[in-house]
Amino acid sequence: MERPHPLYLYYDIKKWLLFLLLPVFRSIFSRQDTVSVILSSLRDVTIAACLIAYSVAKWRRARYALKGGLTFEHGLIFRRFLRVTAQDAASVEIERSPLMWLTGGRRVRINTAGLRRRADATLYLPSKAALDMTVEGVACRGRRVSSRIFPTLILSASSSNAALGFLTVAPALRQTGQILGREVTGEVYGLFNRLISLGLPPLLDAAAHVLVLGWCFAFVHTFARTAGFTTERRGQQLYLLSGLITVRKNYIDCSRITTMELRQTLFMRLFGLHTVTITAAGYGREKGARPVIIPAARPRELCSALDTLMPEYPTCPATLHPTRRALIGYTLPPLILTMGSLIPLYAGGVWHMIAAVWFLAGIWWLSVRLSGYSRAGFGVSDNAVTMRYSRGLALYEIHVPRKLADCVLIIQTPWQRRSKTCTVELRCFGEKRRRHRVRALPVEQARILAQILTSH
Amino acid sequence: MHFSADKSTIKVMTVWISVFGIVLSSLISALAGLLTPWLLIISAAVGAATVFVALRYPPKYASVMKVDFDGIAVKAVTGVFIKKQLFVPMTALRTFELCSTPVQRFFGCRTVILRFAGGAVFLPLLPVKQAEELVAALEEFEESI
Repeated sequence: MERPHPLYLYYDIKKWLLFLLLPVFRSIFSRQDTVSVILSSLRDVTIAACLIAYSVAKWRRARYALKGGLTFEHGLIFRRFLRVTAQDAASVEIERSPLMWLTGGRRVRINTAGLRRRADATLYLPSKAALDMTVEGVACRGRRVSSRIFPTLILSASSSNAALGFLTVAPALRQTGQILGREVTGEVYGLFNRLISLGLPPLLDAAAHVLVLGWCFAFVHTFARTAGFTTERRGQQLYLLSGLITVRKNYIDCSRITTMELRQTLFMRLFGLHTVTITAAGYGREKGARPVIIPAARPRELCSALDTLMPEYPTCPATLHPTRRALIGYTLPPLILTMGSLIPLYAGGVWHMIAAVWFLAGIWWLSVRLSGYSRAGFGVSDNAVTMRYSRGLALYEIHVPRKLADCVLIIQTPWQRRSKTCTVELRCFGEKRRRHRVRALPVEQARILAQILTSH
Repeated sequence: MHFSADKSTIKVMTVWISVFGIVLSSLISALAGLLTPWLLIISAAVGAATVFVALRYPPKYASVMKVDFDGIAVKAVTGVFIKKQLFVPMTALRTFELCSTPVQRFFGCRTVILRFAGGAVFLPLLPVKQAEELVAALEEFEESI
């Protein structure tokens, strides 16, 4: 049994390092006398030193072995022994950040098919041991699909969340301002203001800048994560490589893929691009992770990429579509939202701008719903189930092997009973436990398809 | 095999609706004492609605509820306002459970839970004999595999 890489120590200590910053902050901001500041700082440093010593002891006791799988022993107070056999590992992720590149270590996450929120095992190994763990150690090359830069840019632009980006960037700016002086935060916003002049009233201008800044941060973050995305088929495994600064390698057992999902936002629809994600035990379990296998591709590239990567994966066409009368149901909520923009328009003044933004948001949603209506469908064949639907501001198409479709629900609300339509819901295994729903399908035909689905 | 709800289902539902209505009505009455006596009107309306729902809803629910098991899949129909038809293939079934609350035990009812990889579905308030028959049939099927 061997000891994990010293990076284990660094990542374990990281959470205690904030204690060491306390004396610095106290010396700058505290108005107490020097003796009490020194005494308080000594106490903080002692606590931090004790916790760091605890981490060191933990690292010295931790042991792992790679023989027919992984054996990992760690913990001091709560001692843990973990054994994952090679056959049970559904996916393996190897991460290399710049620090890991410098120190020659790798973070390895091993997932099995259980429904857990985190990886079954996370450990830090020397790069050679991490390489030996995977098939990469055995030199073999398979069929490869690489994403081009333009589709990756479009994917990053469409999936960047302004609010999320702002939540990350704003506290970071505030903290920098506190340490280096308050004018730093002002200068960043000022520079940004000079670069992007939106010509809005002051209150809206500030809000718009905050959102644009947040979106830019989210865009850079997503792009750094997905740039250089390469997917390769190696025997029964899918090998995924992605990341600009932090490089991630994923190995997924193809037999564990339960759902293939094609996702398209309206923005991506303008460029005719689709994102392909999969549901495989363990993959995409970490917070913020998305189980992508093709970040963005046009239909023709997509077909050839899927033929290369997953030729045996079953698919079928969606044969059942929503009725014509259902168009009203699909478009009514966004139409009401769009009409709501008349209220701020009537109020006048600064509300004109809010009315314009509101109207555009409503039209955007309406366009998604209309596209969703034209594409929606449900289909069952001998070996696959297909569903196409819109949810939120994106369009989805899912393909599930028939034997893995767990449950079909036909839901009928009182107003659907009058129009003889229903909502079909499909439940199958997924890390995020999402349900797939197609609205306003003819009830009798839906019932027949559900019967066919369960007849084997 | 066909299964459906009976009088015990109606009794359990009536008890639950009555208890919920009484608690809600009491809370609103207590608020009326603290804030304004006008809230007593809402309390009376809740009481009346409880009596109406407790008398009308359970028989309708029981008449709609049907469970079928043909050795290939479990099919069920539930719901009065929002009707749900569910289809669970036997190949997808991982585990099944039979559970009951004290009220269900008192009136002779059980809830059957069917668990699969993507979640679970509940077949609530089946009469005890039928619930046991369904579980026995599922068990028999699992053993035959």
